[in-house]
Amino acid sequence: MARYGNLQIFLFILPATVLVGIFVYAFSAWNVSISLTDWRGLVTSIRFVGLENYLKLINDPIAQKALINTFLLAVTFIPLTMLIGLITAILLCLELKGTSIFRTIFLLPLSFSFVISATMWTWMFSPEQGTINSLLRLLHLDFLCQPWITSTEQSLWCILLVYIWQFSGYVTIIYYSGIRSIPQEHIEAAEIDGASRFNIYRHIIVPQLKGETIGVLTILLFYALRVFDLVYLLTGGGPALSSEVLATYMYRMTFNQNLFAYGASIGTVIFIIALAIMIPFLLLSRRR
Amino acid sequence: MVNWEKTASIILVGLMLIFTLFPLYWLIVTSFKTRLEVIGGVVFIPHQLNWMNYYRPLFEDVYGAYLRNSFILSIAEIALCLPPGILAAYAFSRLKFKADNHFLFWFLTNRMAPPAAFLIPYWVLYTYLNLFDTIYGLIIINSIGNLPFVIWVLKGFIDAIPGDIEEAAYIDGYTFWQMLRKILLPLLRPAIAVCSLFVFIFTWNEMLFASLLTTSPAAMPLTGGLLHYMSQIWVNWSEIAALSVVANLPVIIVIYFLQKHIATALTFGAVR
Repeated sequence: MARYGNLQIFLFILPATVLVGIFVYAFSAWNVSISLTDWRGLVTSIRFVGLENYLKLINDPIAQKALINTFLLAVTFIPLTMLIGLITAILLCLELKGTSIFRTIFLLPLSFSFVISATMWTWMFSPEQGTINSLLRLLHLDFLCQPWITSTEQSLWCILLVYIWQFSGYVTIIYYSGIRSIPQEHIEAAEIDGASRFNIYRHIIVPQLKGETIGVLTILLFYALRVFDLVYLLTGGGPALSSEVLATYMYRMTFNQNLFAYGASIGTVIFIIALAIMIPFLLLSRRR
Repeated sequence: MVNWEKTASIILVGLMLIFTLFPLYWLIVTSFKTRLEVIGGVVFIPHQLNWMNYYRPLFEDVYGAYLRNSFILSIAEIALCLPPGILAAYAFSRLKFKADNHFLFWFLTNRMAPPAAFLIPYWVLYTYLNLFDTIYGLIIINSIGNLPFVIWVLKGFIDAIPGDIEEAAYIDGYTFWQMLRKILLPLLRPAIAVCSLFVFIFTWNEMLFASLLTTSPAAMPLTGGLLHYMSQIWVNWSEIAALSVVANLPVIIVIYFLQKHIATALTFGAVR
């Protein structure tokens, strides 16, 4: 086969590979090496301390709390978002024969920068003049008013709500196009056979959405593992550490308290957790 | 029975629509309110359009500079990432790799590592190289996410172009660059447009590095600016709503043109 020289073409791969190699992997390694010292940012003296930071991390109650919160957010965010997205898609597609205007609408939240959605929702959740409580008062439902993000019990779930708001529309759209590609005859045949609605969904539609489910799960898992932005922006991990996740804790330790080495060790732990979940997931999801 | 199902569906989808759209509606409405309307209870439609909320931060404060930086950054990102991205995408498409493509993709992008894993070294490097608080610094760091994205989306498009076309060009004596210019690029034009718009959105919306690595109106983009506004003690909610609308408007316009491609691009692991 006559082709253009492989060597020349191979060189095209280099810029991107080198960029990622250095800025992602070499820098992660650099991060690990920082985590093995006692470096405190602006202070120039650096001493090698081995695994001391990691030992400290294991016994750090705030780190444990942050780990639990990270986990709690992931295990609620992923299934809830997928379920809401799937139900909305099924209803749109089968019951309402929705038009493409819905695609634009449900895409909107995803297009928002985290900064804007966080700003918007901070205003929604604000207990005094915030939108949700004001609306409740207007409807004379004062007893439903909540402290929202200012309460230690509710802060994490408020963040969860914003995450669901931002991503469920995306899940809806993916499932919507997935359902549309299922041959209409399958559904009609089942209807003629007298299958109930629920059974049609369960046995005919959902099993054919396996590809979409894996795709959606990959993206949501990806975001769940790097949960930072909305937490940092909405509550900063507070109040009283109630919504602290690993990444906000790492950020606070490093850039507010100048404990660079300790922050680096938290960063490394986040990376290891991400690898430990993502690699098996990617391998398993490929083996259909 | 069927009617009951229909009603329930309409109610559920209606709730979902309200959940999705109400915050957006509220943002736009708030951006036109006077300060009195914001704090004085619930106002669904402001009495008049108070454009001052837009005018003051953008023209009498520094937020116009943040907006300009966002445009410079996003457009520079497109110019910087597309050319090497197209070439690398071609290479990844035509060379045969033994490894599983999907797996390779995750490893050859920044997707495997959460930013927390390398945030500190960036900060150190930027402080030492005097890249801190410069727009160049932000351009470099954004391309680490954008370049791999461009490559893997374009690779999908190039995979769909049969290799016979290039073979014919080769036999006709085209050099590689002639073939690229006369055959490949015209075929890829829609894909390149889609990619550019996505790169625009991701860069435009990027917040973490913008807020961590820039501080002054000379370099900080609008996302960082919004964060800066929020950190003030006295926050004027209608102004911040106006700024949010300004910050989101280009994205909504772009998304409108992109909606057909969003599923494809996101399956490739698009990340802001």
